[in-house]
Amino acid sequence: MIGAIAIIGAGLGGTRAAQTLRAEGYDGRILLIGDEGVAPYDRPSLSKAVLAGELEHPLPLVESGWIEEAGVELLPSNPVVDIDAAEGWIAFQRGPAFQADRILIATGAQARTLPIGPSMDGVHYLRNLADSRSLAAAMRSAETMVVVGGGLIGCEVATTARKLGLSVTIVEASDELLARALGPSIGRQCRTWLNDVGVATITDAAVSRLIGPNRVEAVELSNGLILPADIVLVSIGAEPEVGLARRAGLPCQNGIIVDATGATSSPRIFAAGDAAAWPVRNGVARSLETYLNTQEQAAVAARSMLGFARPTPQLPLAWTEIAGRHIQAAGQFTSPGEIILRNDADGRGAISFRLQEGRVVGCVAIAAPGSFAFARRLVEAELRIDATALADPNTSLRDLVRMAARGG
Amino acid sequence: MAFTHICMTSDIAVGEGLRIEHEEPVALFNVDGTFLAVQDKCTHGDWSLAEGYVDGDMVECTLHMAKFCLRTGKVCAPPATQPLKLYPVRIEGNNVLVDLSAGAVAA
Repeated sequence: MIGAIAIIGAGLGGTRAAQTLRAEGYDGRILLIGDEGVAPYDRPSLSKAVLAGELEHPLPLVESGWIEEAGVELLPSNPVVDIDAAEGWIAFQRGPAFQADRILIATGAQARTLPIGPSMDGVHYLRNLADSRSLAAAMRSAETMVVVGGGLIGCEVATTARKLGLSVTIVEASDELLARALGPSIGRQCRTWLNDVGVATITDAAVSRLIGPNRVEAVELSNGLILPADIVLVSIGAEPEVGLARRAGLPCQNGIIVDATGATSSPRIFAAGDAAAWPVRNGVARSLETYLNTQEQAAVAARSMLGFARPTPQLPLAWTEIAGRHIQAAGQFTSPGEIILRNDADGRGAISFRLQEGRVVGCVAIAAPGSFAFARRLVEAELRIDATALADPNTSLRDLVRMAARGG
Repeated sequence: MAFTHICMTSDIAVGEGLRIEHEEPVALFNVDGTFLAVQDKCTHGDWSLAEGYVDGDMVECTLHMAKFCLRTGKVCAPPATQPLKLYPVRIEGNNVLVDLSAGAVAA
């Protein structure tokens, strides 16, 4: 009988897991343990509306009053310092330990730090609300900003910084922005759009030195260039937060190793979200760092903890807003394959599909959210389709989804 | 109660929606021949639902994939947490009428 479940991490994964446990009828204790001192909130706005000052507070993750009504014991600021995998004991920073029948590790990921010298004032990272508030305050009194790393967060923040009137340069170590997240061809388009709104971009360059002395004033690049910078944002990726899991003896590689139900090597312990290396459809198990995948993994892992395990390998699903464009992606897009571009019939948006051996295995939509809803279902179904038909805007995606539902 | 003529039943195909511009825009859907009207603004991300993906009697917001029941307005999938307002619909012959002033969250 399971009567006590501890969820470590009160972000998206932890909170959705708590909701799923209650939705599935579990009525035992749920500890939802955070370390930010605030109620669970929605993170995507931290690089956009909240950072821009358009939205004072990020949206809450649950309806107001739900935590109390559902009898979830939220511990927003008493971090877990150790887990005992064998007996389920959890040790907190303060107060007595707690013994749980099941433990979900949903500790997310930490920003990768710049591998040079000591940090200095004016150097920022962006993972949580406190980071966003501090960066927003710094941006209000700054004129120049260097964004180190041209991934999703870097490109989103650069967009916001331009809105606020800062002079912004993105420095990317590889030869294209967003290559890992969206593939080089979408990355190239985004770079053009960023340039169009006034963001300068430098590729094939790393930051070799921060120029201070105490507060950053400029950065020096590996190619010798010196860029003035009142603020530096370091957005060079994230590392799954696996410290607790490692100390508990759980195997980790690109995250805590779990099966497609969220189970770790310990029968009591599960993991979901950015902390977990979850199996991916047609790909290598990894931390996916996306909202929708975290949400799905949390629900799957919550059910697994109750004994209703249903293996759910992940189809990566992501969205972003860069230089005013709404971009959505599904499936595998970064490995080579045949790319089919399909313009929306209304001429506003477009979707690129990736075909592998005649099957749809990935898509990226730009300013085409209505079409993306259908396109991602073609990816889920791995529909076998002729490239010419797919590219033709007169072929209805709705009809293709129906065809896929019939077994394509 | 003031019902306004919106369109003909044949104007919205099964599984599709129509945005009605109004002070508070309304989205009208054809769910397997039943016409249902809800507020045309996702309660999570301030986004139109009229172009949303209709699956049975649910609509999925195209922005962040929250799902709502079109019959009850209730949230079926996060990230939304608040229900949608519903609007009364009346069919007269082949005409679809909606009371654009009577939007309300179901009890």
